[in-house]
Amino acid sequence: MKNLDEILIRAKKNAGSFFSKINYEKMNRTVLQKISDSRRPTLPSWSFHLRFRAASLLGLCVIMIAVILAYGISGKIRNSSSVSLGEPVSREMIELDNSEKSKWLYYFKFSKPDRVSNNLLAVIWEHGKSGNYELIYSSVFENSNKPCKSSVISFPDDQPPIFIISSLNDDEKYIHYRMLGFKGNKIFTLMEQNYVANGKLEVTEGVLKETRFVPTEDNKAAEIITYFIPYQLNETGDIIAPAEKLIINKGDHVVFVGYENTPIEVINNTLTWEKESSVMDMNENMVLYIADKAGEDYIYINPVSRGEPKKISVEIIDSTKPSD
Amino acid sequence: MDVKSSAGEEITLRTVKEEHICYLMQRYGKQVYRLAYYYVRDRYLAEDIYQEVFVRVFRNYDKFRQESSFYTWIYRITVNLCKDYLKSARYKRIITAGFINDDQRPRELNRLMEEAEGGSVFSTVMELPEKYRLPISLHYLDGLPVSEISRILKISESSVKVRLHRGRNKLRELLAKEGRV
Repeated sequence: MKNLDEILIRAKKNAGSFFSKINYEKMNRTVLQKISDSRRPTLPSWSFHLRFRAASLLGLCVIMIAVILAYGISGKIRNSSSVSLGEPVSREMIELDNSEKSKWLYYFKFSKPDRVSNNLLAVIWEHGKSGNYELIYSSVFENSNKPCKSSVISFPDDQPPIFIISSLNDDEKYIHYRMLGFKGNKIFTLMEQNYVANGKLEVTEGVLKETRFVPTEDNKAAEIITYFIPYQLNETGDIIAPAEKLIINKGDHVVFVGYENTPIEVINNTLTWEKESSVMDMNENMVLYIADKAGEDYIYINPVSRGEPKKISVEIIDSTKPSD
Repeated sequence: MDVKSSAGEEITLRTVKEEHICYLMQRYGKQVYRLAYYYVRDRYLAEDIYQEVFVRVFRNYDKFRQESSFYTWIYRITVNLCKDYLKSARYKRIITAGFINDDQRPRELNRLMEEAEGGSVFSTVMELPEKYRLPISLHYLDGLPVSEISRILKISESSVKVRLHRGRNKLRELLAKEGRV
Protein backbone atom coordinates (compact mmCIF):
# COMPACT_ATOMS: atom_id res chain seq x y z
CA MET A 1 0.00 0.00 0.00
CA LYS A 2 2.80 2.35 0.91
CA ASN A 3 4.38 1.57 -2.42
CA LEU A 4 1.25 2.73 -4.25
CA ASP A 5 1.16 5.97 -2.24
CA GLU A 6 4.75 6.65 -3.20
CA ILE A 7 3.87 6.00 -6.84
CA LEU A 8 0.94 8.43 -6.60
CA ILE A 9 3.23 11.11 -5.16
CA ARG A 10 5.52 10.53 -8.15
CA ALA A 11 2.49 10.75 -10.48
CA LYS A 12 1.60 14.10 -8.88
CA LYS A 13 5.10 15.40 -9.65
CA ASN A 14 4.85 14.03 -13.21
CA ALA A 15 1.50 15.77 -13.66
CA GLY A 16 2.89 19.05 -12.30
CA SER A 17 5.76 18.92 -14.74
CA PHE A 18 3.48 17.97 -17.65
CA PHE A 19 0.94 20.74 -17.01
CA SER A 20 3.63 23.37 -16.43
CA LYS A 21 4.46 23.17 -20.14
CA ILE A 22 0.97 24.24 -21.22
CA ASN A 23 0.85 27.70 -22.77
CA TYR A 24 -2.07 29.25 -20.89
CA GLU A 25 -1.30 32.75 -22.14
CA LYS A 26 -1.81 31.65 -25.73
CA MET A 27 -5.12 29.98 -24.88
CA ASN A 28 -6.27 33.08 -23.00
CA ARG A 29 -5.48 35.26 -26.01
CA THR A 30 -7.50 32.90 -28.23
CA VAL A 31 -10.45 33.11 -25.83
CA LEU A 32 -10.37 36.91 -25.91
CA GLN A 33 -10.11 36.83 -29.70
CA LYS A 34 -13.15 34.53 -29.90
CA ILE A 35 -15.08 36.82 -27.58
CA SER A 36 -14.14 39.79 -29.70
CA ASP A 37 -15.05 37.97 -32.96
CA SER A 38 -18.42 36.95 -31.54
CA ARG A 39 -19.43 40.61 -31.51
CA ARG A 40 -18.63 41.29 -35.16
CA PRO A 41 -21.70 39.78 -36.92
CA THR A 42 -23.89 42.47 -35.36
CA LEU A 43 -22.02 45.22 -37.22
CA PRO A 44 -24.09 45.47 -40.46
CA SER A 45 -27.38 46.15 -38.69
CA TRP A 46 -25.46 48.30 -36.26
CA SER A 47 -24.37 50.75 -38.94
CA PHE A 48 -28.02 51.34 -39.91
CA HIS A 49 -28.97 51.89 -36.29
CA LEU A 50 -25.93 54.09 -35.85
CA ARG A 51 -27.02 56.44 -38.61
CA PHE A 52 -30.54 56.49 -37.24
CA ARG A 53 -29.30 57.11 -33.71
CA ALA A 54 -26.86 59.81 -34.82
CA ALA A 55 -29.70 61.71 -36.46
CA SER A 56 -31.88 61.28 -33.35
CA LEU A 57 -29.03 62.33 -31.08
CA LEU A 58 -28.31 65.41 -33.13
CA GLY A 59 -31.93 66.47 -32.81
CA LEU A 60 -31.91 65.72 -29.09
CA CYS A 61 -28.69 67.71 -28.58
CA VAL A 62 -30.18 70.76 -30.32
CA ILE A 63 -33.21 70.59 -28.01
CA MET A 64 -31.04 70.05 -24.90
CA ILE A 65 -28.71 72.95 -25.73
CA ALA A 66 -31.71 75.20 -26.24
CA VAL A 67 -33.20 74.08 -22.89
CA ILE A 68 -29.89 74.43 -21.03
CA LEU A 69 -29.27 77.89 -22.46
CA ALA A 70 -32.77 79.01 -21.60
CA TYR A 71 -32.49 77.73 -18.02
CA GLY A 72 -28.84 78.70 -17.61
CA ILE A 73 -29.39 82.31 -18.67
CA SER A 74 -32.26 82.70 -16.28
CA GLY A 75 -30.10 81.18 -13.51
CA LYS A 76 -32.50 78.37 -12.84
CA ILE A 77 -29.95 75.52 -12.83
CA ARG A 78 -29.41 75.24 -9.13
CA ASN A 79 -30.80 71.86 -8.25
CA SER A 80 -28.19 69.23 -9.06
CA SER A 81 -30.15 66.28 -7.71
CA SER A 82 -31.07 65.09 -11.17
CA VAL A 83 -27.49 65.28 -12.51
CA SER A 84 -25.97 61.86 -13.18
CA LEU A 85 -22.26 61.07 -13.24
CA GLY A 86 -22.94 58.67 -16.09
CA GLU A 87 -20.43 56.20 -17.48
CA PRO A 88 -17.11 55.67 -15.73
CA VAL A 89 -13.96 56.83 -17.51
CA SER A 90 -12.08 53.76 -16.34
CA ARG A 91 -12.69 50.43 -14.64
CA GLU A 92 -10.27 48.07 -13.04
CA MET A 93 -10.74 44.84 -11.12
CA ILE A 94 -8.85 44.74 -7.82
CA GLU A 95 -8.22 41.94 -5.36
CA LEU A 96 -8.09 43.20 -1.79
CA ASP A 97 -8.63 39.87 -0.07
CA ASN A 98 -9.06 36.21 -0.90
CA SER A 99 -12.85 36.30 -0.86
CA GLU A 100 -14.96 35.23 -3.80
CA LYS A 101 -16.52 38.70 -3.94
CA SER A 102 -15.06 40.65 -6.82
CA LYS A 103 -14.23 44.32 -6.37
CA TRP A 104 -14.09 47.00 -9.02
CA LEU A 105 -12.41 50.37 -8.99
CA TYR A 106 -14.31 52.90 -11.11
CA TYR A 107 -13.42 56.50 -11.86
CA PHE A 108 -16.11 59.00 -12.80
CA LYS A 109 -15.46 62.45 -14.18
CA PHE A 110 -17.40 65.42 -12.80
CA SER A 111 -17.19 69.20 -12.96
CA LYS A 112 -17.12 71.89 -10.33
CA PRO A 113 -19.86 74.55 -10.41
CA ASP A 114 -17.61 76.65 -12.68
CA ARG A 115 -17.80 73.75 -15.16
CA VAL A 116 -14.21 74.37 -16.14
CA SER A 117 -12.06 72.08 -14.05
CA ASN A 118 -12.13 68.32 -14.24
CA ASN A 119 -12.42 66.22 -11.11
CA LEU A 120 -12.46 62.50 -10.61
CA LEU A 121 -14.50 60.44 -8.22
CA ALA A 122 -12.92 57.07 -7.38
CA VAL A 123 -15.42 54.43 -6.29
CA ILE A 124 -14.81 50.84 -5.22
CA TRP A 125 -17.75 48.47 -5.75
CA GLU A 126 -18.08 45.02 -4.30
CA HIS A 127 -20.09 42.40 -6.15
CA GLY A 128 -22.03 40.92 -3.24
CA LYS A 129 -23.61 37.49 -2.74
CA SER A 130 -27.01 38.90 -3.67
CA GLY A 131 -25.67 39.77 -7.12
CA ASN A 132 -25.87 43.51 -6.46
CA TYR A 133 -22.97 45.93 -6.45
CA GLU A 134 -22.36 47.70 -3.15
CA LEU A 135 -20.28 50.84 -2.76
CA ILE A 136 -17.53 50.19 -0.22
CA TYR A 137 -15.22 53.16 -0.78
CA SER A 138 -15.16 56.54 -2.52
CA SER A 139 -12.76 59.46 -2.75
CA VAL A 140 -12.56 62.67 -4.75
CA PHE A 141 -9.44 63.57 -6.76
CA GLU A 142 -9.72 67.30 -7.34
CA ASN A 143 -8.52 68.88 -10.58
CA SER A 144 -7.43 65.60 -12.13
CA ASN A 145 -8.08 64.38 -15.62
CA LYS A 146 -6.51 60.92 -15.78
CA PRO A 147 -7.05 57.90 -13.54
CA CYS A 148 -3.93 55.77 -13.12
CA LYS A 149 -3.61 52.04 -12.75
CA SER A 150 -3.60 50.93 -9.13
CA SER A 151 -0.49 49.49 -7.45
CA VAL A 152 -0.35 46.74 -4.85
CA ILE A 153 1.99 46.12 -1.94
CA SER A 154 1.74 42.43 -1.04
CA PHE A 155 2.26 41.25 2.52
CA PRO A 156 3.60 37.91 3.75
CA ASP A 157 1.70 35.55 6.09
CA ASP A 158 -1.69 35.89 4.36
CA GLN A 159 -2.05 39.49 5.47
CA PRO A 160 -4.25 41.51 3.10
CA PRO A 161 -2.39 43.68 0.58
CA ILE A 162 -2.20 47.48 0.62
CA PHE A 163 -3.53 49.30 -2.45
CA ILE A 164 -2.46 52.59 -3.95
CA ILE A 165 -4.92 54.38 -6.18
CA SER A 166 -3.88 57.56 -7.94
CA SER A 167 -4.80 60.16 -10.52
CA LEU A 168 -2.86 62.56 -12.69
CA ASN A 169 -3.26 66.06 -14.01
CA ASP A 170 -1.10 65.88 -17.10
CA ASP A 171 -1.30 69.61 -17.84
CA GLU A 172 -0.17 70.76 -14.44
CA LYS A 173 2.00 67.68 -13.85
CA TYR A 174 0.84 66.67 -10.42
CA ILE A 175 -0.68 63.55 -8.92
CA HIS A 176 -3.00 62.71 -6.06
CA TYR A 177 -2.95 59.32 -4.41
CA ARG A 178 -4.42 57.26 -1.56
CA MET A 179 -2.92 54.31 0.29
CA LEU A 180 -5.75 51.91 1.17
CA GLY A 181 -5.89 49.05 3.64
CA PHE A 182 -8.47 46.30 4.00
CA LYS A 183 -9.65 44.76 7.25
CA GLY A 184 -12.87 43.14 8.40
CA ASN A 185 -14.52 43.63 4.99
CA LYS A 186 -13.88 47.36 5.19
CA ILE A 187 -11.55 49.61 3.28
CA PHE A 188 -9.74 52.32 5.21
CA THR A 189 -7.40 55.10 4.12
CA LEU A 190 -3.94 54.75 5.63
CA MET A 191 -2.76 58.03 4.17
CA GLU A 192 -3.38 60.38 1.27
CA GLN A 193 -1.30 62.91 -0.62
CA ASN A 194 -2.62 65.63 -2.92
CA TYR A 195 -1.05 67.92 -5.50
CA VAL A 196 2.28 66.08 -5.53
CA ALA A 197 4.27 68.14 -8.03
CA ASN A 198 5.88 66.08 -10.78
CA GLY A 199 4.85 63.10 -8.71
CA LYS A 200 5.99 59.64 -9.58
CA LEU A 201 5.03 56.44 -7.73
CA GLU A 202 6.67 53.06 -7.83
CA VAL A 203 6.28 49.95 -5.70
CA THR A 204 9.73 48.49 -5.23
CA GLU A 205 10.95 45.77 -2.85
CA GLY A 206 7.71 45.95 -0.88
CA VAL A 207 7.77 49.70 -0.28
CA LEU A 208 6.14 52.64 -2.04
CA LYS A 209 8.70 55.03 -3.50
CA GLU A 210 7.39 58.54 -4.13
CA THR A 211 9.33 61.17 -6.04
CA ARG A 212 8.20 64.80 -5.91
CA PHE A 213 9.57 68.24 -6.58
CA VAL A 214 9.40 70.97 -3.94
CA PRO A 215 10.26 74.64 -4.48
CA THR A 216 13.47 75.91 -2.89
CA GLU A 217 14.22 79.39 -1.54
CA ASP A 218 16.18 80.36 -4.67
CA ASN A 219 13.09 79.65 -6.83
CA LYS A 220 14.41 76.35 -8.06
CA ALA A 221 13.05 72.88 -7.46
CA ALA A 222 14.49 70.09 -5.37
CA GLU A 223 13.68 66.43 -5.89
CA ILE A 224 12.58 64.62 -2.72
CA ILE A 225 12.37 60.86 -2.57
CA THR A 226 10.23 59.27 0.13
CA TYR A 227 9.93 55.58 0.92
CA PHE A 228 6.62 54.62 2.53
CA ILE A 229 6.77 51.38 4.52
CA PRO A 230 3.32 50.14 5.55
CA TYR A 231 3.01 47.58 8.33
CA GLN A 232 0.19 45.58 9.91
CA LEU A 233 -0.49 43.52 13.02
CA ASN A 234 -1.37 39.87 12.51
CA GLU A 235 -3.80 37.87 14.65
CA THR A 236 -1.16 37.08 17.30
CA GLY A 237 -0.06 40.71 17.55
CA ASP A 238 3.17 40.42 15.54
CA ILE A 239 4.22 43.32 13.34
CA ILE A 240 4.21 42.30 9.66
CA ALA A 241 5.91 44.48 7.05
CA PRO A 242 6.42 43.81 3.34
CA ALA A 243 10.11 44.84 3.34
CA GLU A 244 13.21 43.29 4.91
CA LYS A 245 15.90 45.62 3.60
CA LEU A 246 15.97 49.14 2.27
CA ILE A 247 18.79 50.77 0.31
CA ILE A 248 18.39 54.55 0.14
CA ASN A 249 20.40 57.70 -0.43
CA LYS A 250 21.40 60.24 2.17
CA GLY A 251 18.68 62.90 2.33
CA ASP A 252 15.84 60.53 1.41
CA HIS A 253 12.74 60.41 3.59
CA VAL A 254 11.37 57.22 5.17
CA VAL A 255 7.79 57.09 6.42
CA PHE A 256 6.32 54.21 8.41
CA VAL A 257 2.58 53.91 7.90
CA GLY A 258 0.58 51.80 10.31
CA TYR A 259 -0.83 52.56 13.73
CA GLU A 260 -0.74 55.54 16.05
CA ASN A 261 1.80 55.43 18.93
CA THR A 262 3.72 52.41 17.61
CA PRO A 263 7.26 52.56 19.06
CA ILE A 264 9.91 52.63 16.34
CA GLU A 265 13.61 52.23 17.22
CA VAL A 266 16.56 53.21 15.06
CA ILE A 267 19.69 51.47 16.40
CA ASN A 268 22.59 53.51 14.94
CA ASN A 269 20.81 56.87 14.59
CA THR A 270 21.56 57.30 10.91
CA LEU A 271 17.90 58.25 10.50
CA THR A 272 16.52 61.25 12.36
CA TRP A 273 12.93 61.40 13.52
CA GLU A 274 10.99 64.46 12.35
CA LYS A 275 7.83 65.45 14.13
CA GLU A 276 6.39 67.35 11.18
CA SER A 277 6.97 67.52 7.46
CA SER A 278 7.22 70.61 5.30
CA VAL A 279 6.93 68.40 2.22
CA MET A 280 3.95 66.11 2.64
CA ASP A 281 0.62 65.75 4.42
CA MET A 282 1.09 63.78 7.64
CA ASN A 283 -1.44 62.00 9.82
CA GLU A 284 -1.31 60.22 13.20
CA ASN A 285 -0.55 56.85 11.56
CA MET A 286 2.62 58.14 9.89
CA VAL A 287 6.12 58.45 11.39
CA LEU A 288 8.74 60.33 9.39
CA TYR A 289 12.51 59.86 9.41
CA ILE A 290 15.17 61.58 7.29
CA ALA A 291 18.36 59.74 6.32
CA ASP A 292 21.00 62.08 7.74
CA LYS A 293 24.12 59.93 7.82
CA ALA A 294 25.53 57.32 5.48
CA GLY A 295 25.94 53.82 6.91
CA GLU A 296 24.10 50.70 7.92
CA ASP A 297 21.28 50.69 10.41
CA TYR A 298 18.48 48.58 11.81
CA ILE A 299 14.95 49.67 12.48
CA TYR A 300 12.65 47.83 14.87
CA ILE A 301 8.90 48.38 14.65
CA ASN A 302 7.68 47.23 18.06
CA PRO A 303 4.12 46.21 18.85
CA VAL A 304 2.45 48.12 21.68
CA SER A 305 1.29 44.94 23.42
CA ARG A 306 2.44 41.33 23.07
CA GLY A 307 3.84 40.13 19.76
CA GLU A 308 7.02 40.03 17.74
CA PRO A 309 8.68 43.24 16.47
CA LYS A 310 9.69 43.65 12.83
CA LYS A 311 13.35 44.29 12.04
CA ILE A 312 14.22 46.11 8.81
CA SER A 313 17.83 46.70 7.80
CA VAL A 314 18.67 49.99 6.10
CA GLU A 315 21.71 50.94 4.05
CA ILE A 316 22.19 54.66 3.51
CA ILE A 317 24.50 55.64 0.67
CA ASP A 318 26.12 59.05 0.34
CA SER A 319 25.95 59.49 -3.44
CA THR A 320 27.81 62.85 -3.26
CA LYS A 321 30.98 61.10 -2.07
CA PRO A 322 33.10 59.59 -4.83
CA SER A 323 33.32 55.82 -4.52
CA ASP A 324 36.72 54.16 -4.10
CA MET B 1 9.40 66.04 -16.06
CA ASP B 2 8.36 62.57 -16.91
CA VAL B 3 5.22 61.63 -15.03
CA LYS B 4 4.87 58.04 -16.14
CA SER B 5 5.38 54.78 -14.23
CA SER B 6 2.59 53.35 -12.11
CA ALA B 7 1.13 56.78 -11.49
CA GLY B 8 1.24 57.84 -15.10
CA GLU B 9 0.03 54.68 -16.73
CA GLU B 10 -3.44 55.23 -18.09
CA ILE B 11 -5.98 52.47 -17.78
CA THR B 12 -7.12 51.01 -21.06
CA LEU B 13 -10.87 50.75 -21.13
CA ARG B 14 -12.20 47.24 -21.53
CA THR B 15 -15.63 46.00 -20.73
CA VAL B 16 -16.20 44.86 -17.18
CA LYS B 17 -17.06 41.41 -18.47
CA GLU B 18 -13.83 41.03 -20.44
CA GLU B 19 -11.75 42.19 -17.49
CA HIS B 20 -13.51 39.66 -15.31
CA ILE B 21 -13.00 36.85 -17.83
CA CYS B 22 -9.26 37.65 -17.87
CA TYR B 23 -9.24 37.46 -14.10
CA LEU B 24 -11.18 34.19 -14.05
CA MET B 25 -8.81 32.65 -16.61
CA GLN B 26 -5.83 33.67 -14.49
CA ARG B 27 -7.42 32.34 -11.34
CA TYR B 28 -9.11 29.12 -12.48
CA GLY B 29 -7.58 28.44 -15.90
CA LYS B 30 -5.06 25.86 -14.74
CA GLN B 31 -7.65 23.83 -12.84
CA VAL B 32 -10.02 23.95 -15.82
CA TYR B 33 -7.33 22.68 -18.17
CA ARG B 34 -6.33 19.87 -15.85
CA LEU B 35 -9.93 18.75 -15.37
CA ALA B 36 -10.53 18.80 -19.13
CA TYR B 37 -7.36 16.81 -19.69
CA TYR B 38 -8.38 14.17 -17.13
CA TYR B 39 -11.55 13.66 -19.16
CA VAL B 40 -10.26 13.69 -22.73
CA ARG B 41 -6.55 12.79 -22.19
CA ASP B 42 -5.46 14.81 -25.18
CA ARG B 43 -3.75 18.15 -24.78
CA TYR B 44 -5.20 19.65 -27.97
CA LEU B 45 -8.75 18.58 -27.19
CA ALA B 46 -8.27 19.90 -23.66
CA GLU B 47 -7.16 23.23 -25.15
CA ASP B 48 -10.35 23.37 -27.26
CA ILE B 49 -12.47 22.64 -24.21
CA TYR B 50 -10.59 25.23 -22.12
CA GLN B 51 -11.33 27.91 -24.71
CA GLU B 52 -14.96 26.87 -25.06
CA VAL B 53 -15.41 26.94 -21.26
CA PHE B 54 -14.36 30.59 -20.98
CA VAL B 55 -16.29 31.63 -24.08
CA ARG B 56 -19.37 30.07 -22.42
CA VAL B 57 -18.56 31.80 -19.14
CA PHE B 58 -18.51 35.07 -21.09
CA ARG B 59 -21.80 34.34 -22.87
CA ASN B 60 -23.58 33.28 -19.69
CA TYR B 61 -21.92 35.83 -17.42
CA ASP B 62 -25.10 37.87 -16.97
CA LYS B 63 -27.05 34.77 -15.97
CA PHE B 64 -24.65 33.97 -13.16
CA ARG B 65 -26.13 35.26 -9.92
CA GLN B 66 -23.54 34.00 -7.44
CA GLU B 67 -25.79 31.28 -6.06
CA SER B 68 -22.65 29.18 -6.17
CA SER B 69 -19.07 30.41 -6.32
CA PHE B 70 -17.45 31.20 -9.68
CA TYR B 71 -15.15 28.27 -8.99
CA THR B 72 -17.99 25.73 -8.75
CA TRP B 73 -19.83 27.28 -11.67
CA ILE B 74 -16.81 27.14 -13.99
CA TYR B 75 -15.98 23.59 -12.92
CA ARG B 76 -19.55 22.53 -13.72
CA ILE B 77 -19.35 24.10 -17.18
CA THR B 78 -16.09 22.21 -17.77
CA VAL B 79 -17.55 18.88 -16.67
CA ASN B 80 -20.66 19.35 -18.84
CA LEU B 81 -18.59 20.33 -21.87
CA CYS B 82 -16.28 17.36 -21.43
CA LYS B 83 -19.21 14.97 -21.17
CA ASP B 84 -20.85 16.52 -24.23
CA TYR B 85 -17.60 16.27 -26.09
CA LEU B 86 -17.09 12.60 -25.26
CA LYS B 87 -20.61 11.88 -26.51
CA SER B 88 -20.18 14.01 -29.62
CA ALA B 89 -19.97 12.79 -33.19
CA ARG B 90 -16.58 14.42 -33.65
CA TYR B 91 -15.07 12.42 -30.83
CA LYS B 92 -16.70 9.21 -32.05
CA ARG B 93 -15.33 9.84 -35.56
CA ILE B 94 -11.85 10.02 -34.07
CA ILE B 95 -12.42 6.64 -32.38
CA THR B 96 -13.84 4.94 -35.48
CA ALA B 97 -11.03 6.37 -37.60
CA GLY B 98 -8.67 4.42 -35.39
CA PHE B 99 -6.90 7.29 -33.69
CA ILE B 100 -8.15 6.00 -30.39
CA ASN B 101 -8.29 2.28 -29.95
CA ASP B 102 -11.08 2.26 -27.42
CA ASP B 103 -12.67 4.76 -25.10
CA GLN B 104 -10.33 3.81 -22.29
CA ARG B 105 -7.10 4.71 -24.09
CA PRO B 106 -5.78 8.06 -25.27
CA ARG B 107 -4.52 8.54 -28.80
CA GLU B 108 -1.41 6.41 -29.08
CA LEU B 109 0.89 9.03 -30.58
CA ASN B 110 -0.27 11.62 -28.10
CA ARG B 111 0.17 9.17 -25.27
CA LEU B 112 3.75 8.32 -26.25
CA MET B 113 4.66 12.00 -26.51
CA GLU B 114 2.99 12.87 -23.23
CA GLU B 115 4.48 9.87 -21.50
CA ALA B 116 7.91 11.21 -22.34
CA GLU B 117 6.97 14.67 -21.07
CA GLY B 118 4.85 13.82 -18.09
CA GLY B 119 6.29 10.54 -16.93
CA SER B 120 5.05 6.98 -17.25
CA VAL B 121 3.33 6.87 -13.84
CA PHE B 122 1.10 9.78 -14.82
CA SER B 123 0.29 7.99 -18.09
CA THR B 124 -0.71 4.85 -16.18
CA VAL B 125 -3.11 6.92 -14.05
CA MET B 126 -4.54 8.31 -17.28
CA GLU B 127 -5.20 4.76 -18.49
CA LEU B 128 -7.71 4.14 -15.71
CA PRO B 129 -11.39 4.04 -16.78
CA GLU B 130 -13.05 7.47 -16.58
CA LYS B 131 -15.13 6.45 -13.56
CA TYR B 132 -11.95 6.00 -11.48
CA ARG B 133 -9.58 8.27 -13.39
CA LEU B 134 -11.45 11.46 -12.46
CA PRO B 135 -11.63 10.95 -8.67
CA ILE B 136 -8.08 9.55 -8.52
CA SER B 137 -6.65 12.47 -10.56
CA LEU B 138 -8.56 15.17 -8.73
CA HIS B 139 -7.69 13.71 -5.32
CA TYR B 140 -4.11 12.51 -5.73
CA LEU B 141 -2.82 14.76 -8.52
CA ASP B 142 -4.71 18.00 -7.78
CA GLY B 143 -5.03 17.49 -4.03
CA LEU B 144 -8.79 18.18 -3.88
CA PRO B 145 -10.70 16.90 -0.85
CA VAL B 146 -13.49 14.30 -1.21
CA SER B 147 -16.20 16.94 -0.54
CA GLU B 148 -14.93 19.12 -3.41
CA ILE B 149 -14.76 16.16 -5.82
CA SER B 150 -18.31 15.23 -4.85
CA ARG B 151 -19.50 18.75 -5.80
CA ILE B 152 -17.60 18.81 -9.09
CA LEU B 153 -18.68 15.37 -10.29
CA LYS B 154 -22.16 15.67 -8.74
CA ILE B 155 -21.91 12.34 -6.95
CA SER B 156 -22.16 11.62 -3.22
CA GLU B 157 -19.09 11.74 -0.99
CA SER B 158 -19.46 8.02 -0.26
CA SER B 159 -19.45 7.29 -4.00
CA VAL B 160 -16.25 9.32 -4.33
CA LYS B 161 -14.67 7.27 -1.53
CA VAL B 162 -15.75 3.98 -3.14
CA ARG B 163 -14.37 5.08 -6.52
CA LEU B 164 -11.10 6.17 -4.91
CA HIS B 165 -10.76 2.77 -3.23
CA ARG B 166 -11.61 0.81 -6.39
CA GLY B 167 -9.53 3.15 -8.52
CA ARG B 168 -6.51 2.47 -6.34
CA ASN B 169 -7.04 -1.28 -6.73
CA LYS B 170 -7.38 -0.89 -10.49
CA LEU B 171 -4.25 1.24 -10.61
CA ARG B 172 -2.35 -1.37 -8.60
CA GLU B 173 -3.42 -4.00 -11.14
CA LEU B 174 -2.18 -1.88 -14.06
CA LEU B 175 1.11 -1.15 -12.30
CA ALA B 176 1.54 -4.85 -11.41
CA LYS B 177 1.14 -5.74 -15.10
CA GLU B 178 3.97 -3.33 -15.83
CA GLY B 179 5.97 -4.83 -12.96
CA ARG B 180 6.06 -1.63 -10.94
CA VAL B 181 4.38 -2.82 -7.70
